[in-house]
Amino acid sequence: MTKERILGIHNLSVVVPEEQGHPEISILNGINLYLKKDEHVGIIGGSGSGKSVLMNAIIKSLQEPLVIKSGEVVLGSENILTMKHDQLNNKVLGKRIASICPNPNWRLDPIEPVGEQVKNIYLSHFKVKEAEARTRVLELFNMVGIPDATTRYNAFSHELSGGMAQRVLITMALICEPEVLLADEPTGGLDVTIQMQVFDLILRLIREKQRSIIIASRDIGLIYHLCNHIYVLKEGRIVEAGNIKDVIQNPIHPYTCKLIKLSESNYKIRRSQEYMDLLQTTDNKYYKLCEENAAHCKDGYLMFENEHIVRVCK
Amino acid sequence: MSEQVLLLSVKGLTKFYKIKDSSLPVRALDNVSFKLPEDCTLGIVGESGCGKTTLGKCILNLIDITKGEIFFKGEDVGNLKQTLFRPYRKNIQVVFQNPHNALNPRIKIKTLLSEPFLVWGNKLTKEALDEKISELLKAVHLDDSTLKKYPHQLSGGQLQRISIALAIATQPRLIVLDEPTTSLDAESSAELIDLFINLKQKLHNSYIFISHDLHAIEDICDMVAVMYLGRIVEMGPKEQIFNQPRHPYTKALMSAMLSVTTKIEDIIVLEGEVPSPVHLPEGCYFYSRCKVRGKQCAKEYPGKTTFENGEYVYCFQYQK
Amino acid sequence: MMKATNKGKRNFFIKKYINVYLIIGFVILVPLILVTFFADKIAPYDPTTVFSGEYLMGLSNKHIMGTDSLGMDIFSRVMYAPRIDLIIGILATSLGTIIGVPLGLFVGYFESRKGINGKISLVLIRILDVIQAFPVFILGLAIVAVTGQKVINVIYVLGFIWIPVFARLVRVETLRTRDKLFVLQERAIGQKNSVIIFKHILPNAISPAITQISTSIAASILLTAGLSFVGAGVRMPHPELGLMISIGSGNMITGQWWPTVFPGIILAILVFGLSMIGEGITISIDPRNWK
Repeated sequence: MTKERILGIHNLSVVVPEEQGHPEISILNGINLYLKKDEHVGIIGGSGSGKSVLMNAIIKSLQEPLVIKSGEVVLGSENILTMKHDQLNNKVLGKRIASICPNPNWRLDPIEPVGEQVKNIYLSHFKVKEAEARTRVLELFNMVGIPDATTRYNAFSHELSGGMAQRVLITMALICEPEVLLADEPTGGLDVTIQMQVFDLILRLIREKQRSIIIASRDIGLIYHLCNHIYVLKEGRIVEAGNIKDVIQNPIHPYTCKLIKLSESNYKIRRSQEYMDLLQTTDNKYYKLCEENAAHCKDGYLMFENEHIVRVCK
Repeated sequence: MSEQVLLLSVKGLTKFYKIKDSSLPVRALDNVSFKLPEDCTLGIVGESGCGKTTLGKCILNLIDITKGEIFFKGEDVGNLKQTLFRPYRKNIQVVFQNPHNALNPRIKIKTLLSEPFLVWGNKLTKEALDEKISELLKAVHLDDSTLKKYPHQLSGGQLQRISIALAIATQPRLIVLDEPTTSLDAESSAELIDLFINLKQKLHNSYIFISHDLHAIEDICDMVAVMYLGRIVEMGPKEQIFNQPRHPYTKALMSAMLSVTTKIEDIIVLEGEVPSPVHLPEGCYFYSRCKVRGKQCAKEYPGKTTFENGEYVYCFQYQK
Repeated sequence: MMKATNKGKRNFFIKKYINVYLIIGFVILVPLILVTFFADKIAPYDPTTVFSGEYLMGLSNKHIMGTDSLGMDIFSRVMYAPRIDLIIGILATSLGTIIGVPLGLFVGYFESRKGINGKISLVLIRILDVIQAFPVFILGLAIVAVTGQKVINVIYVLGFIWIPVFARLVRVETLRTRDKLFVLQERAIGQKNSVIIFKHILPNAISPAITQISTSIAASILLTAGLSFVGAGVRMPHPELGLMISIGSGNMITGQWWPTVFPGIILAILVFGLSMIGEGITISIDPRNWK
């Protein structure tokens, strides 16, 4: 039973092009990532891994000087990257793919009331009456837990707290009922208890509305509880991918192992012989794996059962 | 606990900021009191608006306090003007949150690290100074190659270690750290914590560790104070705060440490938002988001309930 | 790992620091400054030589730019004149900078702080306000009336006017920089105020002042010309652009345009060149323009 694939990223590479003074710098290298219907994919990596670049590249909104060197992003049957600007903006962004970003207050227009901003996004994709659009916005505000929806509709972004602003961004993303939701560090920049509110909301959305979502985060705990599939990103490459329980319980790549252990460790544990031994064993196992399977690896990756993939070649 | 052993004693510390066009001030700190002995690390946790950064700056005499007293080794330093406070700075140092902002971008690392020695040291020869700087770098697990560089050429983790080196240079009795791990990723953060605990064991000084990174606090601190809207709502030894929190806010905070082993049912999701620090409610500040609130909580601010070994909490649940 | 090549470095420098305005400014000013510097070698005549009987003569081979109402060769005078203007401009601006910048640093650093320095700072701001409100010409005339028409007085008057300008620019930047985290860090280390101000705040606060220097030199030249025009600047027979314009202005009506127009053109070129340099520096030191 193979589920329908909604989004496919094939061999995506992003670079800083060569200029006087430096050669080409690789930011993302040969990324392959697949999102099936009703699946929730998590992308985990430290800072500098390229998570945000990947999320931006998917919707072709990279900042200078980054450029897409090669690869495809296939939504349904079309390659987004080859679409013309108009088509991308009118037919795809917001309507079929929508995204949420960290530091929500900065992403909202400071001059317009937030409700109006959401409404206008809806109106730009659907031809309905203003009143109807406004009602829909208020419905969504209620659903995501914005209290006093009618008053907040007219609020400005600087009047909103981080948590509220994030909820507004989430309504913006949901209002056109997109097929794919991209969440780049959705809890970034927020207070801990507010992070829990956003986490709770996303969990509810996943359970009740069954959306296909890609979440990029540094927080393993967040991804573990929200996603069923995980990709581990290190310095622009996927080093491990697979079913979430598989990868978390049996990590193969040393980097994945380290990330998981770090999230659960404290000073004592890190100093303990057990911990060091564990890391060493994983390293040894991994290098042995690389040697033994150098001939079998496909494009540098080894596949295990359950679609568990590990990068082996240097 | 005898007064002599106390390194720092804060009583009734209050800081109000006046805002234009309003008669009501922003109550950043309200009647905060605590005692810090020698060789002890106090963690101060709370979310934005709780006043923890303001607390740090008041202790460091970087802002003026509105009311209250701060005693350092028994001496009243809270109300001292800048020039009179200066001699104390040798013993009270700081590490700020973002090292890229905290270090002058136009100055080389070597020059930065020589500053504390030039300010406080007796005339040192060039060789002696170089030696001291090398020692400092070794203590924070960096090598001499960083000396020639400028701040922007180092990573966040490395730069934060330079900040720590700067702070320990004068061998202060007290170091205030304001969110030192917040701008770092998981690996650098863990390295920094390990370094820090290492130093703590060697130097035996006291620290005030201000952060909302609960993992770091759990690792490092001996005592923890939880702040909400300018007041301390609970304070106690780390084990008690993390394993058996009393105040409803502390409980919510502790349940927010999301990890692979967390059970989703155990997470407490608070509703609503933090009230504005200008229009504070009459009763308990946490009333609007508390799941176990009672009638009394809306009318009065709870009194202090003290337990053995000095722990205390401000909540009607425990008040007799 | 590729090392930046020397060519790469040079190209980078060019892209970073040099721009159109600087090039134009240099192209205009360098020849002009060279000419005026070597005026004693190049000029056909001594600027104060009176050719008796040859006053208000038109352009000729002997007097390329003609002669003025006293019979002096305008071409020679026009070559020498920028010397005085530039000297006055540079010295006056230097005076303004040397006094104004430290003043601005002090005022900005201690403003609104408790203690005596804070109070001094308040007083100084008011004084600066008063000075800036002074009309230059009235002040110039007044001083000349009291102490006589000397070049040094012009320098004092103009320098005096520039002090509050530089002070203000630096004050604003100081206010902005003093609350930055690294300044707090320095205070926390226990660094003395004087070191903080000069080592940490000054380099970060000085950019607008640097831009202002070239603007001030240009403005000083115009003001000198103006002061000479009203009789409070340089005295005859010294060649000075404003003076030449002033004295020659009366002859315009009778059709002898050359005593006024030539010095006027040189004045315009000089000021324009300086403005170009000023604009170029502003753009060049703004980090946002660096690639």
